[in-house]
Amino acid sequence: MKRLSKKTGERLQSETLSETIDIDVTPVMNMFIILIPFLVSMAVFTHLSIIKFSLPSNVDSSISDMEEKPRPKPTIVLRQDYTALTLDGRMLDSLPYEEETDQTLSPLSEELSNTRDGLADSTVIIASGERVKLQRIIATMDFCNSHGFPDIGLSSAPEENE
Amino acid sequence: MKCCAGKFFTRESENTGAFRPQLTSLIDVMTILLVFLIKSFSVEGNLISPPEDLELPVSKSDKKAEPRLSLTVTKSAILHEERTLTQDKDFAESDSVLIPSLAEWIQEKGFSRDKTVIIEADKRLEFRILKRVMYTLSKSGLEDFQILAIRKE
Repeated sequence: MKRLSKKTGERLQSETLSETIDIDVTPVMNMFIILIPFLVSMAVFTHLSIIKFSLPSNVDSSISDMEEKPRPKPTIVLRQDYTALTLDGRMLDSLPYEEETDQTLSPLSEELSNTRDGLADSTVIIASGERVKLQRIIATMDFCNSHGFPDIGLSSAPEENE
Repeated sequence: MKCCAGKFFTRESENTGAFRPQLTSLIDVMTILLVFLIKSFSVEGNLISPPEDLELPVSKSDKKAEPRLSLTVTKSAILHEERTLTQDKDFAESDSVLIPSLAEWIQEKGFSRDKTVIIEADKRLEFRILKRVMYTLSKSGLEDFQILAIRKE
C-alpha cells in the first residue's frame, strides 16, 4: 500500500509539472500570422546585378586621330567552336567550345593572369562571333572580372566562316 | 464520493474546455520560415522588374542594378517599358547594322550623351542582335552599357 501511494504521488507530481510548462502559444501564433505575409511580400528571391561594358575605345573612328600607336589589349575571341586568348594579334591560348556542355574557361586562367601582370591597362576586349549566345558572353565577362580586368570592351569578332 | 465528484468535474472541464491542438510542430515550421524570410527581406525590393517571359543570363557580378534607361531585347522585339520600339523581323535579316526605328526613337527622346543604358536581354539572344542594338545606341551618342543579369549566389 505504501509503495502504491508513492507511485501515485510521483504520477501526480509529473502531471503537475506537465501542466506548469504548458505555454499559451496563441499570441506567438498571432504574431507569426501577421509577420509572415508581410515578410513574404517584402522578400526578394532573385537578386539582380549588372555587368558594365562599353564599346572598345581603339576600334572606333577616334583611332585615326591618335598620334601614338594604341597599346595592345588582350582579346578573348568567342567563336561557335572555340574560345581563344590573343594579344596584339598573337594567339596565346585557346580551347574548344561545345554548346551543350557547361564549359569552364579555367584552362585560360594562367595565361590571362600572366598577360594581366605585364600590362598597365586593365581593359580586356571580348570579340564575339555573330551566333554566340549572350550567356556565354556574360560568363566570359565574369571570367575577365575575376582575373583583374574590370574594364570590358565588347566588339564583333573578325569575319570568319562560322 | 468527494473524490469521485472531483474526478468527474476534472474530466468534464477537460472535455468541454478545450480542444487544444498540438502547436509545437507548427511553431517549428513558422520559426524556420521566419528565419528564411528575414534573410531574404529587402527594404528596397527589386528596383528593376524585367518582363516575366525573359530569361536573364546568370552572372557572378555583385554590382547592384539601379533604375536607368532600360531597353528590353527579346528574341522577337526591342521594347522600352512594355512599348514595342521595333520588331525583330524589321531588322534581323537586314544588311545594315543600324536599327532605324530605334535610332529614331532615341533622337525623338533626346537623351543626354552620358546616359547609361541597361540592356535587359534573354540569355539565348545571339550577339548579332545585341551588336545592332549597341551600334545603334552608340551612333546616337549612348556609349555606356550595362547588362542586367541574375546574381549567382
